[in-house]
Amino acid sequence: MTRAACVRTDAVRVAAGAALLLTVLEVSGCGRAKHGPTAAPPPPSTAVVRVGTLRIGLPSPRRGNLLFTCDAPATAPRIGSATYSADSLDVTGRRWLRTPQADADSAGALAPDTLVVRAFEDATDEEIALERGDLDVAVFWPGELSARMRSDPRFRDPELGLRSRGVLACVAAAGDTLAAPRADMEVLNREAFGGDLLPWSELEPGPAEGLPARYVVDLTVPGAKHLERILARLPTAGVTRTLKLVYLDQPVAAGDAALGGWRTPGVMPVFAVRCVVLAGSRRDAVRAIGVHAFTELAPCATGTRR
Amino acid sequence: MNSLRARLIWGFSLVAVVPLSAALLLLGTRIRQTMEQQSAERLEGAIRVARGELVADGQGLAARVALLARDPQLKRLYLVEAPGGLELRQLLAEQRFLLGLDYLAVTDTAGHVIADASFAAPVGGRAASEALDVASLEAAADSGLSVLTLPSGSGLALDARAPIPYAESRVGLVRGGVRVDSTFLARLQRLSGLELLLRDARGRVLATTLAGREAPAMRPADPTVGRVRLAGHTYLTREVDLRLGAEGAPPRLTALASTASADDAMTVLGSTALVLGVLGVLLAIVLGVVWSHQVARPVVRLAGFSERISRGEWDEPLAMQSMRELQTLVDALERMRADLRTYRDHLRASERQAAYGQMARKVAHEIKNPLTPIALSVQGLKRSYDQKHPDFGTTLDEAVRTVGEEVQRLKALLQEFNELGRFPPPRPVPFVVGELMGDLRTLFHHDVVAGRLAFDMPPVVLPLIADPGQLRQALINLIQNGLDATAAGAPGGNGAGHVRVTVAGVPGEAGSGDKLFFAVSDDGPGLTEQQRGQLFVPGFTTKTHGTGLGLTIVERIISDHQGTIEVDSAPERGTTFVIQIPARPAPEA
Repeated sequence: MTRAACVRTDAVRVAAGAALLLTVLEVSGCGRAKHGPTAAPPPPSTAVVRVGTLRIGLPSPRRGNLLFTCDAPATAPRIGSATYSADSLDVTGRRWLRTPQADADSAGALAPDTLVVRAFEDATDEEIALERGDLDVAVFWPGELSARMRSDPRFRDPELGLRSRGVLACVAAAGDTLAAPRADMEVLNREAFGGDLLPWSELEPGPAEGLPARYVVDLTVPGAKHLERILARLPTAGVTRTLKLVYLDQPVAAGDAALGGWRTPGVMPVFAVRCVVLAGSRRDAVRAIGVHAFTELAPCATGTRR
Repeated sequence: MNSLRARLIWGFSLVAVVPLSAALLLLGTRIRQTMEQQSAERLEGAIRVARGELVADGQGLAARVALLARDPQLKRLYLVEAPGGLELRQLLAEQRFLLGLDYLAVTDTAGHVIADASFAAPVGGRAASEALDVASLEAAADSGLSVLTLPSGSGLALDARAPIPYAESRVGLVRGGVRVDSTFLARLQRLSGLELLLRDARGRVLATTLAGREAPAMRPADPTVGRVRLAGHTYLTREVDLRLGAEGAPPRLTALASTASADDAMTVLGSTALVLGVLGVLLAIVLGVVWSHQVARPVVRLAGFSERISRGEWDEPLAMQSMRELQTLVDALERMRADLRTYRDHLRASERQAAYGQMARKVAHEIKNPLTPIALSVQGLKRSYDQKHPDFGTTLDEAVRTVGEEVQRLKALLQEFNELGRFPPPRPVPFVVGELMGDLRTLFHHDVVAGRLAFDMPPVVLPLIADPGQLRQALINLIQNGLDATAAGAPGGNGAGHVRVTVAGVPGEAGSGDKLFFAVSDDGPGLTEQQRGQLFVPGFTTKTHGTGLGLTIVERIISDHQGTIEVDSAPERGTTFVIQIPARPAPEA
């Protein structure tokens, strides 16, 4: 059987809520590339809809990523100013009920009354759960989302939420205050993290770009070997400087950073950590609440310390 | 078995064969035990290899299936797409081809097949229909590894099941497997060099390397090694359960190690033993013959020497060199011969002295006897002369006659003693016995005519080499003694007796020449035991006027002719003298 002779099996799938009825042609044996027609993501709804129950998938604390490990116990979810307490009637322990309180911010105001939080040890399972409709929102660590999901029209252009903590920085030799070459860091972000990390240059202007460098990655970074392999493929002709990539569990906000005291000469932030937040039919609600609020739901309170 | 040679041969044969047989028996037993032990070790090794291969295959299979169960694409197709969709089946078909499996399927947690690679499009040039239909296999809801029997009875399958994990739970199973069939056995056979056989739990043969040969009966699956015979070949066999998981009745693997090498070795050993045994027996025969000859020859010579000694032939020394042990006997016999000859000479001297003494007494007695009538005649003649007896003349005549007669007797007596003392050695010449008998018949013509003497001779010519004169003299003495014993005036004689002379020739035994027998028998009064003991003593006589030298002369003649004389007599039964002499005398040593 050739791809041209694929058998068509029609299935109708509801996407983007009631706003859009999207017909998906599932074509067996034709590969992922033809997994349904290309359709533009639905435009954000202008009307703010408050969701009663939101099913959220999060990385399990045991699910590692390339930058840090999560050794902190899970805490009660919090969206904006809205706090939640466990539903005592739920035997699964996944259901959280919103705690009555005066809302102070918009995120808290739009936070759902009930959260069903599931932690996935496998990103694929989380993707599948999202595809199966078992989840409304799925949060992934940077670089975790599969290429298939990234190319799926239903989940194209995923939301990226910036985490309040977590900086990938370059440490140069004494006297070297130039930034790492932008192209090198773009390669690193694209190949290792699928472009999920936020270049620090988008947060604040950085120092001038320096000469090509040879990179080493701090061994406390879980994906150090993988990152070094990627960086080792970069051209090394004429390289005279060496930069060390380190992950800093430090606040991203400039004011907080100043308080953290890590902004010293020779330590040049390169990326801030962003998480992928997929929300098929609830994308509008997610956007309304604020993507960043969902990135903080991941039960990884501290990460790897420097 | 009575001969020394036979005993030596038997002895050497036993010495050659018995230790050889015992050694070969022990060696053969040891070789067989060693080879059987090696075969058993090979069996054990083959079993270990088989189980190891099976376990390794199973672990590899389980790892591949587990990896596939965690494959995101498979998981997505299983969980997201329509159950049993074509895309999932196609993926399974691809993976079955890539992983080298014989079947591959996805089942739900209850074991129901959701998607099977056998129901997909061909992949890699192999039709998916070649794959086994998982639905036809035994249901398996648990993950793990097991060996199961294929429903077609074509072999076994190594079956691995891995759970499909999804969000901290199991949502299905990936089940895949490979056949454990003749191909698997062929691989094991290449590794182990043994014949192998697969059975299901009921003992049905599923696969075997015994091409065209009947499978042996199933044995208990224990560590013991059995022995079976197939198509004329003997095998050591052992069976083992092929249990990898918690399956029920497990299939069996039978390993068979041929004992052909051991049997060949035993055959060669047996042939070698036979050849060595035959060679040993032949060598024993040769040695027995040679050594028995070396031993028997001096023994035979010693036996002949002993016979000569027993015959009184003590003059010829025993000149022989032999083995040390026999040389001692030779020396002893030679000393004995010399001693006997010395004793004989002394005895002869003593006998001669005794005979001379007796002879002197006899001579004195014989001389005294005539002297008495002579003295009486002379005294009577003197008295008649002194008394002027008128018939002095008559008396003188009688005295002269008496003295003359007695002097004549004395002369005859002295003549006999003179002849005995001057008896010459025999001068043997060839002659015919019949001529001698004719002379005797002529000499005793009167008695033959009177019927008192008879001669019996065979009607054949009997040649003889002897001194005819001495032999004639001996026979005359014996005939005359018989006639005298049966004469009318003899003591106990009645005048009606008979004397018979019988001659016979007897062929000699091996190693000896022909012999002649002369028997002179009479039916006279016979002899007493005491008389028989003194019969050949010079001077002994039973006759009134005998000199007692006749039989002494006869014995000496026969002895000089290397013969023997025996007497058979008893009172009132007559007397028979038997002379035995060789037809030709033995050469002087």
